[in-house]
Amino acid sequence: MDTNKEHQVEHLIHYTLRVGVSASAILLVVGLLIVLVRDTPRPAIAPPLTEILRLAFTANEVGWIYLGLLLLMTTPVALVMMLVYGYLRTGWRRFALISLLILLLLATGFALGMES
Amino acid sequence: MYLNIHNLLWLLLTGSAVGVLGAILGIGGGVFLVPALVLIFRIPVHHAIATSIVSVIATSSAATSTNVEKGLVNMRLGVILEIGTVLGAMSGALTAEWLSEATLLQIFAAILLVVAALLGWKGSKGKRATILSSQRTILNDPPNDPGPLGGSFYDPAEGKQISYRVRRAPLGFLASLVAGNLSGLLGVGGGFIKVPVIHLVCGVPMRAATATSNFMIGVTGAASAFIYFGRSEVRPALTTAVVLGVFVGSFIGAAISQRLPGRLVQAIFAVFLLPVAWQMFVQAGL
Repeated sequence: MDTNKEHQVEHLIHYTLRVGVSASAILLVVGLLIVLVRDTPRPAIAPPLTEILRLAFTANEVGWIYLGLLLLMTTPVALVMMLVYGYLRTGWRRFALISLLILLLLATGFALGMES
Repeated sequence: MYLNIHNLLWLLLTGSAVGVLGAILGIGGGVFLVPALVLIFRIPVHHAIATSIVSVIATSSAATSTNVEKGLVNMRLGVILEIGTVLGAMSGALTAEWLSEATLLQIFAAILLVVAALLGWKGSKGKRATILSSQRTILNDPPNDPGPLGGSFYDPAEGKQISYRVRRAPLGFLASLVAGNLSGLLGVGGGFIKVPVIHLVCGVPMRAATATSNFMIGVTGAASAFIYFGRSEVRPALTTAVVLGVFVGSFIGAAISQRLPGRLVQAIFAVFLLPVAWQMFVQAGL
């Protein structure tokens, strides 16, 4: 195994996870503080994705919390995407293919969740 | 449960305590978090499981970001085993919808007994098994090819590069399927199965096995988290408070874990989990 190639993929994963966790943590902390200060009512049923994005981009604190949670939940998905990209770039097609299969399974889980 | 400042502080504290425990014991926090939310805060078990899954994703992603940079994660082995855990997690999350609260509590209590037994074993004979397992796969001559799934990392304790081969990956795949299923069903990371399997069955050294398990846990959690989210079982404010607490606690736990007598702590918590399992059985109506 070429360790230099492996390090390239590892750097990619490191930065992907760092960005995902940091961005979601900021959204969650700010959103939760504002929700508590304003005592904002929270919906009993999770809003659809389009509504979450609309709320978040209109500076709604509940929208920020939902977006933060979704961002956190999609961070491992981004990790797998980066694995596919990284393994393709380094020429390890077998592992790129396996990562792609995991990505498809995750997409199925996402579709099942959004359907319900 | 309506979340005011008072509740928030207790949830943050509980999350922090779980994060500290998880980091010290090296098993993730789900086995402590779900009973705490159900038994102390009286939160419905399906919501507790969903909250636990999201917090598991947070701690796994943060830990993997560091571990991967240090070269500890065996990503090639991880992605192969991940097919099994993701399939298991999705089936577990879908099954959980059809199980009653009492059934889930009973299964959880039974798993707590298994975890207690594993912790007790690690606290007593685990070190000997660890040494025996590593001796079989660690390459004494690092330039040797560790094979397509093997790896290497720098071990500061040994002061040298450790190279190792991987054996019995198909068996590891089957165990990953079970670990993934428990993760999706009960909201636990499944590290208490993955770490012993990757280490003792596949022969990966302990440090790399723990890091690889952590790498897998986040992806496994994501597979079932979307399903719980779609069913509105991820409660936004509750989950956020717990996740932030677990996040802070896991950093504190990682910092203090080196100074604690690990085997003694594991033995103590093995005993501590027994009454918790009993309470879960009582809560289930047994």
